[in-house]
Amino acid sequence: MKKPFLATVTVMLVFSITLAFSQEATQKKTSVKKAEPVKIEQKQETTKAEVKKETKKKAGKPLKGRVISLAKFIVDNNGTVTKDEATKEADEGKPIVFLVGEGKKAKIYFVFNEDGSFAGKKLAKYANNKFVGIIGKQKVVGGLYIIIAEMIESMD
Amino acid sequence: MKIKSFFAFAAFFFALLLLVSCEETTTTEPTPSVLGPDSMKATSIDSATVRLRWKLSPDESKSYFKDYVLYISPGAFSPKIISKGTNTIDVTGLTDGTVYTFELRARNSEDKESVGSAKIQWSPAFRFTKNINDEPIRVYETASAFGSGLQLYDPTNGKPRTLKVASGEFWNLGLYTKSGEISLYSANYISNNKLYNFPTPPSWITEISEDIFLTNTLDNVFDSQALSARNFSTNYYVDLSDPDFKNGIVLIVRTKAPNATDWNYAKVLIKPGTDGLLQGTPDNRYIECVISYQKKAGVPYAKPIN
Repeated sequence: MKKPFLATVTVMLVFSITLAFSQEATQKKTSVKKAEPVKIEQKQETTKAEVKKETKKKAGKPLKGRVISLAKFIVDNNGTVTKDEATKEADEGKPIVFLVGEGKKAKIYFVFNEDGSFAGKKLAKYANNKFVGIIGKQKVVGGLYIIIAEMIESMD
Repeated sequence: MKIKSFFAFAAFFFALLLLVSCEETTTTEPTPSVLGPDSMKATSIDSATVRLRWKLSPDESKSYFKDYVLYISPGAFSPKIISKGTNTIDVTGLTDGTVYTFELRARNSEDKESVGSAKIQWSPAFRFTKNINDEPIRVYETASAFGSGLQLYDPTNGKPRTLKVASGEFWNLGLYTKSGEISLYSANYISNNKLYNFPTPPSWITEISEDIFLTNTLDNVFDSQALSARNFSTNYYVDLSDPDFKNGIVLIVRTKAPNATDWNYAKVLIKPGTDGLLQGTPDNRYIECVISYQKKAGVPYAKPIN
């Protein structure tokens, strides 16, 4: 009579211990995942202290210009296109290029990605921007201005 | 003879008693009600999806516990049956800017619903991972020739935009990296304290919440209260060089259009790089953001009920 009772009690004990441990583990896992808020500081309305002189190494400055359609530029000497138009032209294989400077000093750059592919499709995304900056290696090949773009960013 | 009669009577009486008591034990008791779930929280996944999370009913282990049922209003949403043991669900097919009421009840094996429920009001919000150029949302350090300002939402292009000082009028937040400082400020603080010299001061007011969430995804930032319940100020700023922040942070921001009375609320994730929040190489180091933005003013994502 005692044996079944003891066995039952033992099974219940083991079960409750297992349950308790499994719950604790779950809770720990959850608390690790939880995004805990922390307080941040508040600044008073004061004038900033004098700025120290920086000594960091300067990287290459971007070439500043705007994105145009070469086909349109030949026709209207302006080349302005919207992002949607530029994307459509790029998809059709028409060259989307980079215009630096205006008037007689204007230079048209053909922009390539670092892997050697033509960057017309990427450039088209910036056609709505007033100004765009490109950092990369510049060269002149057969009279054509080329940039191997490392970075392309808005400069609005 | 008398004794025999007595025993016969006693046996008959005992048998009758047994019969009656047997009938009593077969009477069916109604299945007890179950306790409802609790502590519902929510986060907006995108413009049509809200993720809900709750504390399971304490009666889940009971044999008569069946499942959960979720009611959604307004709109023609059928009640959603959610299986036992589930504490998270994505509700899809919602409309951005609409504040929905989500109410979750538990059911017993007879489909009787719990009296108590987990309840929250929440609205989905737009999620932006790309800027107006369909590229990652990056904000550059002060020394960079690229933009150090972030416009959370550009209504013309329908996405966030990175801007230079010349476009300071449209900044909401700005990255400032001078004198060893790497901080994110509200555009109003920047303008008032001349951290950058804007040609035109910011036209919108932008405030930052005092609470920062340590996480690398917006999906982890659940809330049970309206974002408006937090403390905001144009003077709050975030020191991005804080070692605690290196694995990513989410800050809560609100902006107000000129002459507007209501705020637009947003959550901004600053993604972790390989060496903290500032990525890339000088002088074009940047922070990369993901933005959850509530286009409709006056909807701080949630409205508390309980």
